[in-house]
Amino acid sequence: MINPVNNLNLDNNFLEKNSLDKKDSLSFSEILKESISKTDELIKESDKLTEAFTLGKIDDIAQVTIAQEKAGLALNLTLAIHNKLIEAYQEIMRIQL
Amino acid sequence: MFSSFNISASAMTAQRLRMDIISNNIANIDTTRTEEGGTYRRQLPVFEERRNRPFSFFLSEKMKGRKDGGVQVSAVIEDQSPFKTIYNPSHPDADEDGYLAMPNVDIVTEMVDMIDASRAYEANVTALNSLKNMSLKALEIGKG
Amino acid sequence: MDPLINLLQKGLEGAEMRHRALLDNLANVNTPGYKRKDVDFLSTLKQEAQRNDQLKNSMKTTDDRHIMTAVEKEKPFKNLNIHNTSYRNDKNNVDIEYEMAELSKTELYYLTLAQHISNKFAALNNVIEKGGK
Repeated sequence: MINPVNNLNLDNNFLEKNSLDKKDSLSFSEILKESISKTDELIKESDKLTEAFTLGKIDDIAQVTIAQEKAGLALNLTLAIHNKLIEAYQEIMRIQL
Repeated sequence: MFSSFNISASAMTAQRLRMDIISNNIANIDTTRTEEGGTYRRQLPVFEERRNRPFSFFLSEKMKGRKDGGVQVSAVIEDQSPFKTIYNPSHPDADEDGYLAMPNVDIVTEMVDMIDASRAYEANVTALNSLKNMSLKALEIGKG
Repeated sequence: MDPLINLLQKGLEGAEMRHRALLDNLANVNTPGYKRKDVDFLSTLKQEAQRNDQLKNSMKTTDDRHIMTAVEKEKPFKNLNIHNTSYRNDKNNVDIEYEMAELSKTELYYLTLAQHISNKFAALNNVIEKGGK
């Protein structure tokens, strides 16, 4: 799980931005929020390129297709993070006190 | 979209027919005796936009906002340019003065025509394939 | 539904109509007197995209007394019949090479749009399936 998150440069930038002590655990909701906003950005960017291509303003197929792939991957990643977090939460809730 | 396939198909048929006519011309380049009597006359196809469809076809196409397209060979006519006359008194079909009318078929013209027909045929095959690709891709929408 | 999907769909329709016109041109490359046909779907698409933007903006009126911006009605694609050129004795103005090039372009455009629509639907399905677990 850690490797894919690293590739998005999530926790690197995040730690620097918030100057958290690395020993403290990152808040799950903050990871998720960051991931969602990055994904949203990529999707908007890809939509803009797709619209430009459809209207004939650009004609670089590779650029448009790559942008869509990036957006799709980011979406999948966010979904995976989301599901894992929920799983983890449910796991914790099941711990009998 | 299916009627678009017919456009390309009609083109291939027409070019194929044209090639047959050209082959016939070449085969008969020395024919001085035909069924109707007299020397063979060069034949030509007449290309026309395809319109010879039953009314129901027009109605359905109009309702979809489309006109039928494509090409048809509407007639095969004879080239009325003059025969080539040569002087050959020993030939059985020569007239009283010894002149013989040979078919108005020029091999070079026919070959160039044949190449042109062949090129047009290939182009329409490519066009048909491109349409097929598009249709197959549209079929894949939503398959994830 | 995402307005981009609508735009992509219109793009596919337009591309198909143009492709059909090009097929007709190729079929009639030897027809005397035939003039090439074309479909200008990009300009209609651009108007459609502007219309989408107008719709988005027009929904921002916050008071009944505000005047809604006029939204143009949907227009069909423009069919073109190109009459004024002729470069052969039989008055036919079809150039095989040009038609083949335009055919390839249109095909690629269509394939790309189809791929993108597919991706969009796949993404939506993805979210519905996986998000719901």
